[in-house]
Amino acid sequence: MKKYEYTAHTADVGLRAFGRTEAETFENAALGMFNLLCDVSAVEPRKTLEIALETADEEENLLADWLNELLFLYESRDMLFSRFRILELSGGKLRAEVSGEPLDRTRHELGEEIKAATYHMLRVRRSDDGWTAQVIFDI
Amino acid sequence: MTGKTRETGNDIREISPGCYELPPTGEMKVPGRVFADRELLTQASREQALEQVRNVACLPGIEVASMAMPDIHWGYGFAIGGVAAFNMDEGIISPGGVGYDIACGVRLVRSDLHADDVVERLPALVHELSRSIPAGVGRKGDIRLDRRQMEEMMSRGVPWAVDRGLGWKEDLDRIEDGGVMAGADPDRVGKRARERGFAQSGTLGAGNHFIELQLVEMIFDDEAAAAFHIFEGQLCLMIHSGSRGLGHQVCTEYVKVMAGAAAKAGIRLPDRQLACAPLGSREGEEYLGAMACAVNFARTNRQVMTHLARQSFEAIFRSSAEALGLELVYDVSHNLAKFEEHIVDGRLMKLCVHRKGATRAFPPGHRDLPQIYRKTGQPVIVPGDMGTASYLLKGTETAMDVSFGSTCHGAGRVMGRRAAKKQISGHELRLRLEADGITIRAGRDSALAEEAPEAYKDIDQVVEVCQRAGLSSKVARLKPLGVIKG
Repeated sequence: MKKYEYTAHTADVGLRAFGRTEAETFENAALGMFNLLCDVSAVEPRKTLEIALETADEEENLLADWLNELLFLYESRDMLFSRFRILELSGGKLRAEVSGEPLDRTRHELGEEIKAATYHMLRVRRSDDGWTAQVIFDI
Repeated sequence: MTGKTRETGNDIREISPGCYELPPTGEMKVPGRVFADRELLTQASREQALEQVRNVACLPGIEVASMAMPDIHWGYGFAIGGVAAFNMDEGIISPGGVGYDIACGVRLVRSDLHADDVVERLPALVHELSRSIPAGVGRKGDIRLDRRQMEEMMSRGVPWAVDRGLGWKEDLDRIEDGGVMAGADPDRVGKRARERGFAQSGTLGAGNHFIELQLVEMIFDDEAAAAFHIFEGQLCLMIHSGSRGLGHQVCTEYVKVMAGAAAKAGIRLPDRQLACAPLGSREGEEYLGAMACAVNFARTNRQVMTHLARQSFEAIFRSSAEALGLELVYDVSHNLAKFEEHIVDGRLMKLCVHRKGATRAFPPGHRDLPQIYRKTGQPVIVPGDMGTASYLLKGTETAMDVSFGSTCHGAGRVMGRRAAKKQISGHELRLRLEADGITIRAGRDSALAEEAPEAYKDIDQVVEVCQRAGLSSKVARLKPLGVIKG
């Protein structure tokens, strides 16, 4: 099963992620985002962090919150991530474990600079054979 | 958001030269107005940009029209190139209408140097600039501020930097608002925004941001050029950068806050990215306090980079920046919301003007302009793509009448980043630009490809449409000689 694909947007970059479950779709979206930031295959899962998020409004928005949380950790802690495990995703709550390592410029080549995951055309939908999520990044 | 793009049909008509009106339909409170020519309008209608202009027209308290400048293209929420003004009674403030890169903008520094005389030294100068100014994804600067210093910088903006020896007193007059936006409230900038911006002070960033050495290739307006201290053959420096992670995080956090505020105020949002709060509401005031901090941060960043650039010139030309005449011409922000006075239906009104990828362009005589430019009008700096040209324009009376004193902010993209990377080889592009005599320093060739001239609209055409519609008036065309990209 395809994990994610990039979609066309004039100024920015769109991402469509797929999964058998909603949780897997969120994991794949994070992977797709980090593959824009760097070459994920070069990022060793040496250190694991826990993430807990909550939203009072539509659950779909958790997708942007989740990706923005990861962007914040990347930029403020200098951490790249390559493994994403959603432990809980229901009732407006998300819990996850993410693994990666500190940025090392000798081994990690950086790609795009992402300012944010936006809410424009943000979608998380159940499809016939699983789930699809769509997000547009501000680059 | 319906997600459907309407073609430019019969419902769109040209109401004045270069101004196309989208009549109100559905929940639109005012028409949409796109300043364009047929070709630019067709480009915009192929994507969702016109739908976005229509969506903004649905927001409460909007006055006159939801507008877009000729460099319009599909954004998120607001179209890029969007201008919208809201009244103080029912109007709103929208972080998405300012954008993630709060106060992203451009400044132009002139010199006394003739490019022809120093052409052999330009590669060394480009090298020195790229060495001294941190650029590129995730690059950190040398400036580390403690909490108190950070708060001072966010509150006081560029005057704070000048007090610390990072600029000249004369620079302040040549920045919008004298380099400091009033109303900055550091308490409204969260810990996370500070953490994200902490190490990025005085750094260029990546994406479409750049530092360029440019040649003044053509003068269109001798009088204005003289007032701006610009002459043909001159070497200039242009810096395009924004508020880095600090601004991005402020926007990220307040879009969420505003979604709640909009619901509370009963505002129906056609697109969640348009989340907003009534002007005067607690959430609105808090965002404005945080936004002003990000504005001051962005302008101070450009100031710090100017300081580093002046030092680079000094090192290469073995002369002082003063002796080299490295004066700031002007610094504009093209992602911003500001309170301004405009005449609507013959009545003077205070409005909150959102410019998202649009530049303020105030006319001669405007009281917000410094004495030095009061007679000429505001200098407007429009960066083009790195292979073609950039422009220096001046503000006009017409812009005050038709676009809330606004004009374009750049060439505007026509090709997505990934499409550009697929179609254009960064390596070949580098060779092509170098063959044209442009010295390039870029982190990655693929980053170059994303910013290739082909990915942008024709800057000459965009500026020409602005001229025809009266939004701004041409002063000079500048050609790139050296490009530093993240």
